[in-house]
Amino acid sequence: MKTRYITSSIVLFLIIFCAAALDVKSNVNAQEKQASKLRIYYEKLPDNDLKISVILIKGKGKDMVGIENAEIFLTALGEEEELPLTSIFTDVNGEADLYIESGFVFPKNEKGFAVVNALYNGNDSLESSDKKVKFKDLNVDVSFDIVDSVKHITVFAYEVDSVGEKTPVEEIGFKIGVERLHSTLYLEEVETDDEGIAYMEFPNDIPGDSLGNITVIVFAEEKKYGTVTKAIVSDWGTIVDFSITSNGRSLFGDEAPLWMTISIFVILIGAWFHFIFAGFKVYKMSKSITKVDAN
Amino acid sequence: MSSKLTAIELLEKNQHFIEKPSKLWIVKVFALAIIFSIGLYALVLQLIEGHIITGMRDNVVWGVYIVNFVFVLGLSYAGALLAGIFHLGRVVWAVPLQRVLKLLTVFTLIIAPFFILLCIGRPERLFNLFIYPRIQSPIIWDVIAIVTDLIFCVVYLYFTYIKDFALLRDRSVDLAMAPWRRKIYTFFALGYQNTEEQRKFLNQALDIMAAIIIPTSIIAYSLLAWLFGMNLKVGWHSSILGPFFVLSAVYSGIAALIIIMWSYRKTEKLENVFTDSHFNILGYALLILSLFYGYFYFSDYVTEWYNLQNTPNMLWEKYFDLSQYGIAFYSSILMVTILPAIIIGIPWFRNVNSIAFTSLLVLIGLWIRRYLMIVPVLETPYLPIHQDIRQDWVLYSATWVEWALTIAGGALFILLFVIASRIAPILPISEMVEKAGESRFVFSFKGKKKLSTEEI
Amino acid sequence: MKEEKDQPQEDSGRRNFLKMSLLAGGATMTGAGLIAAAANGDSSGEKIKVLTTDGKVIEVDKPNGACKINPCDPPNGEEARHGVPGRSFVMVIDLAKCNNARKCIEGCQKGHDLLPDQEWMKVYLMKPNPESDPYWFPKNCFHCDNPPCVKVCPVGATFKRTDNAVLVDADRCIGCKFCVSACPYSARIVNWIDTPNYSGKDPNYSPETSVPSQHGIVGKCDFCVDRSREGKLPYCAGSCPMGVIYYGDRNEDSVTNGEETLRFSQLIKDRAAFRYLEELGTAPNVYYLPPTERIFPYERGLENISEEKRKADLKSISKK
Repeated sequence: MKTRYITSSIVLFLIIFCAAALDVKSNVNAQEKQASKLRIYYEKLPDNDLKISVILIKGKGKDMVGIENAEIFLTALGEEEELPLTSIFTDVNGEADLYIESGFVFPKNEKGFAVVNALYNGNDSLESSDKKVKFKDLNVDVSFDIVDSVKHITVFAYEVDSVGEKTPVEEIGFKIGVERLHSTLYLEEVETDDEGIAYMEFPNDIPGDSLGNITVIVFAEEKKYGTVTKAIVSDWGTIVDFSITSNGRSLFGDEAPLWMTISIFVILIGAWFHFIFAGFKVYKMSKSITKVDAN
Repeated sequence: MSSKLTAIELLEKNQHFIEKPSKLWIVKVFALAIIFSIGLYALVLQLIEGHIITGMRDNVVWGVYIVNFVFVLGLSYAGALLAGIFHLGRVVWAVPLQRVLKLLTVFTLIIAPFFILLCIGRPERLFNLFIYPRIQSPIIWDVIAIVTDLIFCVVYLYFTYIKDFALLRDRSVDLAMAPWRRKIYTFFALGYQNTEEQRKFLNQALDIMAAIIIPTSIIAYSLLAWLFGMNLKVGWHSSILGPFFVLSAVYSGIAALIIIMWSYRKTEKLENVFTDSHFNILGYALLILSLFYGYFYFSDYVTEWYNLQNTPNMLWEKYFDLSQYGIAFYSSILMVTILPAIIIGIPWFRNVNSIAFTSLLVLIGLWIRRYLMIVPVLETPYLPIHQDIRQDWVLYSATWVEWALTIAGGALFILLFVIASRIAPILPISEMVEKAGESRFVFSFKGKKKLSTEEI
Repeated sequence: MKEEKDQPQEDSGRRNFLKMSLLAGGATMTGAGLIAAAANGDSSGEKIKVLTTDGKVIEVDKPNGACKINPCDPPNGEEARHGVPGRSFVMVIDLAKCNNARKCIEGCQKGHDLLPDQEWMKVYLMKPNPESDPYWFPKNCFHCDNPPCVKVCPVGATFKRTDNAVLVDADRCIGCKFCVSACPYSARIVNWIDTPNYSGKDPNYSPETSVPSQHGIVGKCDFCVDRSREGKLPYCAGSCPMGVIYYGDRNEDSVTNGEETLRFSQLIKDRAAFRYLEELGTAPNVYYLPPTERIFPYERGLENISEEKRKADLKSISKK
């Protein structure tokens, strides 16, 4: 009985000791290398070009900071094959992009998704990390109609399968807006119905440029399809006057109000006329001596 | 009194300016030059290191320099105004004062722009004022006004010297003048022989100049007042500013005139010319103006006090608070309104020296008034600048550079007068001996072709 | 609470992405693909990697989608006096969100090469009446439509443009400081101290960038028009962690603080915006949204400033 207690307590002690040692060891290991985190995003640009964006960061919360000049390996994963794409280097913010021309065919996995994997191998002070992004190609057609003198924008979202058949996609949330100088002004958020179509009534008072042109932005962000943006130039904006080039005659303009200019000149001319007149009198005085002398 | 003596006798009484300068004169000039050169040193330092060595900062951007500018320019315009009025009004008792008045005008007008230039951050770019002027700006109005006034006053002063230069030229042999003096007097007399035609032309010119000097000086000083009036700051944005400035200018001008007369009375022994009754009359004028000034000041305050608006109230609290500007405020009121009323109003106190002393107090008080009109106003903007922890950004205190340049300006002013007394007599001798109204009328009178001299 | 603080950080990465994609989108807006856009020669100098349809990886110049208003080079001299055509820049400051982080001040100082003493953007603690709660009040130059500073400048060194910006020409200013005293909002400062960066005639100088400035003259907020030419927000709006400062174009009827974009006319109406000291008739172009429904109590803003400043702020509002 006693020996059993002693044995079991020794074993227990050994187990605890080993666990503690292992724990310490893993802590030490963890202190040696910091964890890095990869994020990867997929975007479809207005011209059907694609963009894969990667951020590599370390730290948490306030100490979060990007890792500079790190090599990220991008691979497209298919059902069976792996297609290495390229490697990109992060900039000073830890961000890196790869642009992909439209028409590039991604290998698809069994569910029909394209998968891109970003891999960072780590270095002496940072752990390696990797992240995948899965996406499907979403096509968006935007059309402009005027029905009963009400302007409409129609968005049709669909997928195209390998045969070329269009499958409408429902419940895609689109934000429709206009491009402005510093950002995009989104006017309305709509969702496609079961036919993949969403409507928006376009207001009549959106300012455009000097010809009334605006760039309508249609934007969707879905987990399945990444970020999809479409940009179409339209003349549905109101005209803004680009021709004003000066402030006109005013107190704060380049030119003074007319009455001010005239008044100042009148006063100055009046005062200086009298001055010159007085000077003329003195001149006559200094010259009159010749008359006396002549006499 | 002066008409009893002829011009020649008057000249002989005051001929010491022709002789070699006395030791006292040289000491005076030397001392003033030293004080002035300290100011020059301060100026060079400021040009090299920039305005950071003055007390001016982002809130109080105008400090002692602008106070001096406004003060000195006020003296100038007052001199011009009074000279013009005395001349056109044919005021006989004021004739001996004319030259001193005009010298006051011109000398202050020369010194004042320098104080403005000290306030400019990039003085080497001043020509931009003439290349790119914006006539909507009160500063351009002021530049035009000062340039115009300077030219007018200098020329007017010169015109009044012509008759005396002719007199000196004619008396140069008898008075044993140095040849260089004779040359100068001959050249500047412009061939004046005191013939009737010449007299007529010169008097016409003098009358015209006196006539345009009056509106020029009033307008010019109003433009200076509008430098502050055309501004949204509380304490400045007031319609009383134009008349207020003109009044305080005349007030300071009379006070300055009294002091200058008193100093010349002592140094040149002119008790018979700058007589006691002159001081009496000018003392009365000072008294009346001090009461006027008190009235303007009081009405300005009472109308603002009645309304108790936020920011104006903050400003007036600074004036009444003894720990802030209270001492300066109360002492300036004392010196400008109360003491003159007592000293000059009560006959027991009234004499030449006390009037001169009061004038000095008035000048100091008016300078303090100008300071109180500019600096606390700039320290009281609409926004709460007291949240700034840099003390010298919130409160203004002038540095030694600014005081040195102020004193140098004063020294230069006195120096110019000291030198002027050596070039020609301080008294307008020719004018003094002319019979009042003699061949002076330019303006014809309806009904009569010309008023005869006896009818004046 | 912690999430609130973390949120801006987490979102900043995402925000950058959205901005960048729009940039690239802007380049391809004309209908040309990436490579074609790069071939147009309008490059920003950077290189981007492009994976072509046939699987090759090439490097092309990054198309300069950055230049949204031509010319992108800020003008100097006489040209600088004409505003960007068709624009009417305007700013909206949301007083409900400001908690005195002072990042706007730092951002502006960094962007314009200013000394720590020189603040073109200031943040005051304001208490409009004895009963109200104080609020933090960021104030830059209001670029008024009836600017008292422009009226009084004797040489035209400060001027009002048709795109609303009131700028200072450092080459012409004589340093009379009349404009500094004329501004009722204390928006202008003077360059009292000579720094090595102040130089004489610099070919790169433009009143729109205000860099390099000069010694002895006047400086103030310039609405960062040079940044707007590139479609970027001013330094203050971009630095604010709370998104207090909205900036945009009244003609376009849109203002943004980097995270949300709103219709300017709607924002002003909905939030009952006001302009500071409207009664003075200066017609400012910076609107303030009243501090209703604040996110933080104002005391939050007292935490990250020095003891001296805290005392000065509290003393200044205690008088009311």
